[in-house]
Amino acid sequence: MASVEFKSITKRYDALDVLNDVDISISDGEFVVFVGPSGCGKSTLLRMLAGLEPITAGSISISSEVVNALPPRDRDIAMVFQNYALYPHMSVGHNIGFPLRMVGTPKPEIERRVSEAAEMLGLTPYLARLPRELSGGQRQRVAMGRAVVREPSVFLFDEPLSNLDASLRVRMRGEIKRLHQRLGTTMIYVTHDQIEAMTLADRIVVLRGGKVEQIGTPLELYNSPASPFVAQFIGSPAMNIFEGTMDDECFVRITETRIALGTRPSGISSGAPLLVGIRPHDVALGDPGRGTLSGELQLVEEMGNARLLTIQVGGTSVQIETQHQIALLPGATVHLTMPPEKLHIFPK
Amino acid sequence: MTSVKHAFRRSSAISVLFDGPAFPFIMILPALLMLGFVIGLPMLEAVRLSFDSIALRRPAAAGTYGVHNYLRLVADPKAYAALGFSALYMVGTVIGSVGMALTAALLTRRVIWFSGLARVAFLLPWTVPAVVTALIWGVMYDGNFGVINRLLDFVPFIDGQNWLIERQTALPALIVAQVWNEFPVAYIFFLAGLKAIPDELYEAARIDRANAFQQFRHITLPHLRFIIAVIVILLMIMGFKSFPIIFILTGGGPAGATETLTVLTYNAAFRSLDFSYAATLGILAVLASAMLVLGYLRLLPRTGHGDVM
Repeated sequence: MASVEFKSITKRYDALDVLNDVDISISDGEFVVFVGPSGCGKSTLLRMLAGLEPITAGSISISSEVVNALPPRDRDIAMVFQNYALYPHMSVGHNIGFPLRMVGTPKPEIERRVSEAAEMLGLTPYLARLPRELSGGQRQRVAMGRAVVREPSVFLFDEPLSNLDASLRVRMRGEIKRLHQRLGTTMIYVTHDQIEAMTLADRIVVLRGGKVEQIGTPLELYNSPASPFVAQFIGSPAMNIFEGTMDDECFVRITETRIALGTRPSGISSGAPLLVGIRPHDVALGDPGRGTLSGELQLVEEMGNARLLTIQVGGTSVQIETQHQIALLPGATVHLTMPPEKLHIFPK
Repeated sequence: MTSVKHAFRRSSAISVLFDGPAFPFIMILPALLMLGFVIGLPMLEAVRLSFDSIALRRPAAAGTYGVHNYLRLVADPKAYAALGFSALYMVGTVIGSVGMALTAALLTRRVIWFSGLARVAFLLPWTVPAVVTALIWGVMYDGNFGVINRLLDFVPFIDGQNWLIERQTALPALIVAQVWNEFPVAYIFFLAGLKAIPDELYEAARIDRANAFQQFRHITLPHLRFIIAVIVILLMIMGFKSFPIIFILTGGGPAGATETLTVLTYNAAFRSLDFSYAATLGILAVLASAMLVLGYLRLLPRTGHGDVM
């Protein structure tokens, strides 16, 4: 078990800054997920921690020891790759035992630890098979077995579920979570899928364009996003964002409508442009009146337990999620009420 | 609709040809005929010749058929010696070429400075005709003014040699020239094989605490196994039937020390003018190389568990 610290990490390829002055501190036993869109630098950050990418500037420490100059083999980490990176010519048993064989662990010990790992991951019947004879989920488990058998101080996962189909992904997600609960080892997990991030993480690091956008628990990120980017990235369907202006004391103007705010946001002067966010399930359909936005219903998507409506309000496409049955047809005019306490205000 | 369908239906005779089990054979028939004509016929002619008695020094014996050439071969010590030299030459060139090619491919695998230039340099010997290779190495091996002896002047404890004239050094010297000429064939195969190994496997191995040698042993070699097997067969055949470099550099000398089966065959045909005996030696060469290759194939483990391919 170990803590991990990224201090002022910068990564540059020629003139391109991939990561810029990143500071992240991860405590012992924590499950931290790096999430962000493609090209945000999350995988690079993980690979730098693994020792697979050189660090341009800054320092990385594992258990308070700076590891910048250490090769991967001396960092006491294990990694699960996106494409599994199983050795295709070795049986499942040999794949799992490979890290132990490389350091001359005695054979009986290897056998014991491989069979323990296989037992834990339900791989015992497949130990003699080759990776190509396994399904995607089984291969993923072998890759996890190869990491588990090491008993490393930090586990690294680089988008491990992105090659699996949706239902298997949900199942494997659960297995990874259980693994963390059982081992209690520090885990760092990279994904572009915010649902994976929300369900797995103790804390989430949102990265964008090589910079940390926000760090916090899943609920902190969901309830108090620090920026419109985080607001839209976390949560599904994504938060609606309107452009508006601060009207006077406690009102915001969106299109022609004045909407009351519960409290006046600090640091925003009257007349200042701002962005107003609201989650789709916080918007309600209502009657025309003061403080409601009008728009044209464009699309109704049935989801079984709820309905997702797409409504055009001025120049903004708004999604709302409602539990009520809807008798309206596309083209109808609808009125939206937005409770002031559910609004997220971001300076523009 | 029915008439349209009918129009596209093939006549039954054509459908037997194109849809029946004979179709693959029909497709390869032209190639088979061509190969039969350019390879099969000369081989048959060589077999016939080996049973005949065509020797320009005994023209009267022509047309006398029998196994006399084979009886002579069995009793010919020069043929046994030639078989031995050919085998040595083959083993030497295979080991040398595979070792050299693998080293070169590993060195130029990753893009480093001048790697493009290095690759071209490694491929260059392949473009040099064997005859020119022989002439170049002939000059380099020269005892008096050859560059090799000149360079050895700077090396303590090793004296210059008459490389192609000494019995002990002639065969190894020929092998070195042959390796220089043919290793690029193996190099280009190995380079392609190395490029096909995913980088991720090496990354996983580095994280799994494998050192450079362990990475080579557990990842590179298993992935190249199939390519190495193919290359070795190719090089075995190339080595066994090699002729121009040996013929030009030593002509089989000194005192028969490099007289491989191909050189002996040449000498029998064009020096002794005994074409039937030369054909018999040729048949021996074909049988010997075929047996060597088949024996090697038997040594290879079968594809299955534990194989990449």
